[in-house]
Amino acid sequence: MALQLRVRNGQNVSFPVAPGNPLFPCQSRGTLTPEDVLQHPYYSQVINNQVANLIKRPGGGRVSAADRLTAQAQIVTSFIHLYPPPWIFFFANVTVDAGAVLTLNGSWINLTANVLTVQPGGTIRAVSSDPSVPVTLNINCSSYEGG
Amino acid sequence: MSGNVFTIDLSGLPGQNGSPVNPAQASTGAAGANGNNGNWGAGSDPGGQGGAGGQGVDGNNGTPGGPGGFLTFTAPAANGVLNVNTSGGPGGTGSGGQQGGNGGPGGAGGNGQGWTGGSVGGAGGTGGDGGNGGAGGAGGIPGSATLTPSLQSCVVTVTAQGGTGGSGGEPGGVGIGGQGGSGGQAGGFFGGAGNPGPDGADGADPGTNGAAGATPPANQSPITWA
Repeated sequence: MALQLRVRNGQNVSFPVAPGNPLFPCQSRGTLTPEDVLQHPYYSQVINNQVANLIKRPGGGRVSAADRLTAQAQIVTSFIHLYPPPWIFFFANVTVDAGAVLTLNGSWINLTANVLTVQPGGTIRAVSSDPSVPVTLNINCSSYEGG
Repeated sequence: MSGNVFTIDLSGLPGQNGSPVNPAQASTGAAGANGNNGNWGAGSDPGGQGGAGGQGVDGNNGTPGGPGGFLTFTAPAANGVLNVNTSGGPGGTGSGGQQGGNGGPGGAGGNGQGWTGGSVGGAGGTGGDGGNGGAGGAGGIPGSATLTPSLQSCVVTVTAQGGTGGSGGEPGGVGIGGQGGSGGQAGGFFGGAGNPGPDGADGADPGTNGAAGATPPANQSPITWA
């Protein structure tokens, strides 16, 4: 169910919300795909480094492409298993007024809206639930109006 | 322009400050030994110098700031102003060092006997050095943003500087010198009592400030176009 979300001046609306909140139907947990991880600007580098260490030959010999892909798949699968499932927030339209803050908490967050409108001075803030893990925020919208 | 900006804030969380050390002073120095009593016809010995106070423990370091976040913003049609902040969080502040301990008291002077008077008491011990402040935590690693070409019509500002490290802790205080020992008892008929020894000197080193945390290099490509 897609709802309209408007954060008004002076408000700080924070997600995820608890069960019973009218906005609860707009949130769900998703699953990372290998493409999500391999296309990420940070985790892709981490994966590549781990692959290089895993398949390193003592004598410096060449490693086949098949071995590399196998090692990569194993590491990515392990990463997805250990990483917290993403938060998915889905709205018809999102409007953040001037002086309003929309706060999204989680390690990996997907925000989808048809139209995203943010008035001057409005803020969307993503905060990692683990201080040692960088937050990843993906915004998908058909139209963005800001400023 | 700043009053007309929509911000996406993915900055890292601040690091935690170093936990405070025990505010009590470090251990007091041992008392100096009492001087030997004099024999008939021989003077008594002065009291021994008090031991130096213990050095204060160093403060604890702050933890590194949290890493900056990563943004992917896909919008086929876009118009407006956009400000993306992917800064790393500032490092935590180191805690202050512990105050140095007091110097130990000087020993009592030896008692006189016969014609000789008592000897002077020992000097107080030197105060302990203050503990050094803990180092600040390193700044968080900056993140980056990937934006669709439609957002190139927007005014985009990406702040991807790492957070600054926390400042070092306050220096520990100097220890106070121990009081001199009392003079020896007068001996015989003419010997007078010894004088108290002098106070020991305060600790010389108040402890240094902790080093500031390191600032990671700025992200070389904080923004890319998908």
